[in-house]
Amino acid sequence: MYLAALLLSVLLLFLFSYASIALGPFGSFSPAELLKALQEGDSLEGAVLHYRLWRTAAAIAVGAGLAMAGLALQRLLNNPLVDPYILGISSGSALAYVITLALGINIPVLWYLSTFLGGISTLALVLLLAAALGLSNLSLLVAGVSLSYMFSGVTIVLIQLLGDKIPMAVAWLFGTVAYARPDVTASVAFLSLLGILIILALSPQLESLLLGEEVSAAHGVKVEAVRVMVAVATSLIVSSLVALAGPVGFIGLVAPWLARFVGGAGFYRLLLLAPIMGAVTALGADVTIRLLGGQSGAELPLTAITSLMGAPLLFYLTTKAREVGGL
Amino acid sequence: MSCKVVLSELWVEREGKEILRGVSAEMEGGLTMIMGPNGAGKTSLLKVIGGIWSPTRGEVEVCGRRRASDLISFVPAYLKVDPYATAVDVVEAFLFNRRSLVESVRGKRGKEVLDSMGLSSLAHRRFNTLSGGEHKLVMIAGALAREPRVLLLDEPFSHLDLANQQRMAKIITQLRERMTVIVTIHEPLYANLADKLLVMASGRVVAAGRPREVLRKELLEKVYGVKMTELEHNGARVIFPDLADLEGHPV
Repeated sequence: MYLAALLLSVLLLFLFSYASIALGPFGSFSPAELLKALQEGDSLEGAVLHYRLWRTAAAIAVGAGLAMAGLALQRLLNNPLVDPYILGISSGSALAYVITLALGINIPVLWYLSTFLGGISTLALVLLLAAALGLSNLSLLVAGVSLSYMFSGVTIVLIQLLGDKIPMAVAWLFGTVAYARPDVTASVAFLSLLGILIILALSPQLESLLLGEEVSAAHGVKVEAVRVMVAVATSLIVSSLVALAGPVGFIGLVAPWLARFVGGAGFYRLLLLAPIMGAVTALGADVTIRLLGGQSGAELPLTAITSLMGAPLLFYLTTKAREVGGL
Repeated sequence: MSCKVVLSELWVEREGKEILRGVSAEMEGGLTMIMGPNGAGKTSLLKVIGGIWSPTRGEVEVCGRRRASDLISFVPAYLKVDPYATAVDVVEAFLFNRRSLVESVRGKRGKEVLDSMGLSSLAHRRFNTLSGGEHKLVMIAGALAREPRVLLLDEPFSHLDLANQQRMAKIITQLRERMTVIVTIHEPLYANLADKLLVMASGRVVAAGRPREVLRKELLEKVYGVKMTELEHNGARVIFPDLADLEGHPV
């Protein structure tokens, strides 16, 4: 089952990647036309393809990164209901990003720094709030969603200060890779990769945390340190992705759940399957919105599609508490 | 191989409450059982020995070391894991720092461990759906695969029917030959199996020694605050709450 799921995911990833590069407004290309246009370089087709290649790379980075962050957070908190979106990391990063834009700061390093600080401080705040409510699956959900809404509200207010950038900012707020610039995509992919490497380095500890914090501590896991490292890694991944594509919802919940559903909870297996499934989800959603937009180029935001998958899943997981370990 | 666990004047304070109040004990090899009423500090003591909690004062020494997590396996009384985790996943999690990266990725050790313990049929079943007895057997299989010198078991007899209690008693008594086994228990009957018995009340050890010296009706009545009945059977002392003491009970 695991191997079949893995093969299918890889196949879908290739298929969606091809669709993402070949299909859309301004022309669809056959494989032969693709190769030709790529070699020609500065033609209109070449420019369209160049844009689509980076857009595809951005969607893959968003999906894989959010899935890894969701996987690590779920294991750390022993809670299958959390993801970076639900825990407010995305909205905290988004708020920080809009603040830098509203202040007129146009230095990418400062964007990343501010989104990182926004993300990690929101995660810390959510964990503190949840602890004050008596740390449980439910209190984490309530604290995360409440802060998330609050920050989103402030973000929307601040976006009104952005003048002619308002339409782009609104599109970004609901998640999109349509404006993924090559330079931003490359630096975000690098930062996400850094976060993913931290999670990979923590794999043994995260595997042990299946047994809970106490058993892990007895077996030598420095739980406090792992908590801090996972918070840093997931904030790094999510905040940089927010700077690239806005707060995209639910992929961090859907992909790890799908991976566990078909492949079991073995952490090392999930490490491979979840990010591929995340990339497939994000890429699939992005291709869908482009196809739905047709030749007009008018597009739905990514979160419109990912929410359609994620929200029912969250409902299912929450209500099927006993069977799936929800509330 | 067993080793010595030395507890010196352990005090633990959590959230303003003194949970352990000056516990001292030495355990070298064999089977040590810790019994006492709810809230006496049994599990807390196990957590301090396991390094899960740090003592506020006093010292724990395991095999001559302050930190000995590589020599310890800890089995909790109850474990709820990821709903999609199988018995194999649970055993693999016990082995997290005990195998190579290649073995981790292949994930075959867990199955081998369960096979060697005669638990093959449980391997791919979801852990949360196993019975109380199966739960504990899988956890003990994982704990033993770590090849510990000190095995800490929190309430191994809880949630087990009588046949499974007997099976657990057999496992524990066999293990004491190979390592230092420290368990918390509620059942005075199984306390007879211990090489050393610690009776705790209100965060202190109120009696320690061989079961025959420690298991006294008067002591347990004082510690638990209920009237007890004492019987001798096959050389074991059986002490249990006196049913006739129940108000309105027909006995």
